[in-house]
Amino acid sequence: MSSSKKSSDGKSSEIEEAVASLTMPFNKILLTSSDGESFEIDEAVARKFQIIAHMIEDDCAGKAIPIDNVTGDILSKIIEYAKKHVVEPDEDEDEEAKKKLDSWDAKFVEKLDLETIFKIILAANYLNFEGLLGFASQTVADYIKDKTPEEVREIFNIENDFTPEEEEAIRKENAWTFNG
Amino acid sequence: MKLRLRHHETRETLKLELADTDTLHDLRRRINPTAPSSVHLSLNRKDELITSSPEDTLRSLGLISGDLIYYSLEAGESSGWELRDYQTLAPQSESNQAIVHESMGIGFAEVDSNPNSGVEDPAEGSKGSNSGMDDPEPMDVEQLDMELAAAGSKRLSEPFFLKNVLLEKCGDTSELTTLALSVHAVMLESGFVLFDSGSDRFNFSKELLTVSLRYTLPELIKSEDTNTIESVTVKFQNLGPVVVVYGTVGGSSGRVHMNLDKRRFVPVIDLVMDTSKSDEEGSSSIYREVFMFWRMVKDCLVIPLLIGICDKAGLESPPCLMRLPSELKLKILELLPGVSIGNMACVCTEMRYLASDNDLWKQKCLEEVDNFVGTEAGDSVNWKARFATFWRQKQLAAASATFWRQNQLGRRNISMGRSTIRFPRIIGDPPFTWFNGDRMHGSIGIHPGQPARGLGGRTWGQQFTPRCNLGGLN
Repeated sequence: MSSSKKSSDGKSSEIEEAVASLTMPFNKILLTSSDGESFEIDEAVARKFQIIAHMIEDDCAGKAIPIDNVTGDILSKIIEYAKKHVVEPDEDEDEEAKKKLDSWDAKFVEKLDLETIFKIILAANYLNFEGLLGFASQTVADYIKDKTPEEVREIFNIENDFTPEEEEAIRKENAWTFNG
Repeated sequence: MKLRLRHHETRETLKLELADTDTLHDLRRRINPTAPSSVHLSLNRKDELITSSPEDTLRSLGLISGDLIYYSLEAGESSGWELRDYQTLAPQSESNQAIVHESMGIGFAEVDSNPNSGVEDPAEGSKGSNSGMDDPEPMDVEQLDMELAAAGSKRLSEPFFLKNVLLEKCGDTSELTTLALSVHAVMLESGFVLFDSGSDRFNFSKELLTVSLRYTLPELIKSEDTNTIESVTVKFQNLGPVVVVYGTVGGSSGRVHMNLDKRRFVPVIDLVMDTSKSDEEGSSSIYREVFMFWRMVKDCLVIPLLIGICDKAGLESPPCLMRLPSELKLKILELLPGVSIGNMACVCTEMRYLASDNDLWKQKCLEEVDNFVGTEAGDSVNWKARFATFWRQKQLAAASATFWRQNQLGRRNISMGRSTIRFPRIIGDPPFTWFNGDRMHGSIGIHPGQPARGLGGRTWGQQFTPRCNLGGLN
């Protein structure tokens, strides 16, 4: 089938695409995490992960896809988010749905500790799941906003590796921020 | 508890209701009343589940409602399952058990004072429980549904992990014990194992004011000499309405501490213990509080300790901001307002470097500066300096507007909100600093190096004079 997909005959590929789109809702993809947990999801959900979408396009997605970099607990959260966001509501058209989804997102992330959020960021990056990567990154950014450098160091366990001289210089360089 | 008993070959599944206090033998009898000893049980279809003590309750084995247990009815010889006695990995005491839990997928182990006596690596343990999934035989849809159902309920894993640990050790329900055990659960879930345990360390009575627990990581339990193993210590101090928790790494002087409000958390944790698992509604306020507790303890206590011990032992630290690849750190910076990027530059050398990206500042100018004209060639302009100028002007304008407004109303004393000047504090040798455990709900009081200058009517003008030369753009 893969060879005919790439054929230059426009008509036959059109037909194939039509057939593919008809069968798509029925297609399930199996993802297996690094620690052996399996998740069966609709193809539409799996397509949110660009690396899998590409595999499907290139016809090298078998029934089961191993996700070696991600553990089961993180993968399950990612899939949970992906399922909710399969169809992104248009802000202008359906404000109600957007509000509901935003509220769900807030509850979703509220329960997560920072380590989990970072694991999700890394996994979403690996899977190339733009939506979740952006959302999780924004969550981290929200932690940082309105915090002083000292507070940021405490929250994220960052060591201050400036020498006293560097510290002085940096303070001067960024004095304009301290009046905010 | 409701258990699912599945025949390992026919996949026929029985749903049985048993009491938490029933034993494995009771379970066997329910499956085969005439010949209970011919029933062999397993959690992962590889190792047989037996106990050395026949009175052990199902609950003490870590089984909870909804669990899936495989069984076979073989007369005489077992179905080929490896006999593994889950109880004998450590000396017989309720607090020393290694339990692998299939539906939870979480394994945890405790080490007694002699590290030589068969330590079960938690990572290994949980792999073992999932080895059933790696079976070469194809997964049929029905099994998948069952696994998914079990996996779905696992998503509330934190409260139930907590519940499991608490139920096991429960004898004494004093508030200190409840909180200490809850913190212990978070430690275990994050990969720590108990070290150098006394026999009844979990029976803190109300009279005890402080309790100390020592933890280490399974990877570090290689050396025979217990003195050389890196460890962390968690100390609980009973202080009226609050339990103060201190964490220290090894022998270093730095430590983290947090306060746990008994009134806030103990009732909620007790409720989690009592509520049956059928309450799947994760959004109920009880679970929300437990999640908050879990997050607080993990972010403020456990992760700093984990990072500390990994640092000391030369292990890779857990996922944290600095461990992200540069492009992801940059992505996060892009989402911040210009002021925060300036603050981030003061955090550490790497952040300073990332935050000095010219394109990043050009983007911020585009986003935040009104009437921005960005037609000049990107590289030749110092966009950060530009932004700084704009920001200061903006602050000046805002202050000026407020000043005149206030003056017109006849008021002389102006307070401009956050007028304290904050400077980053230089931290000494240990990477830990003091902070309040409930920072999720309020900001930390920072002690400025210089006295804060209030913006009185006449002095505000001086505050905005920059003492540095920003490349001539002023």
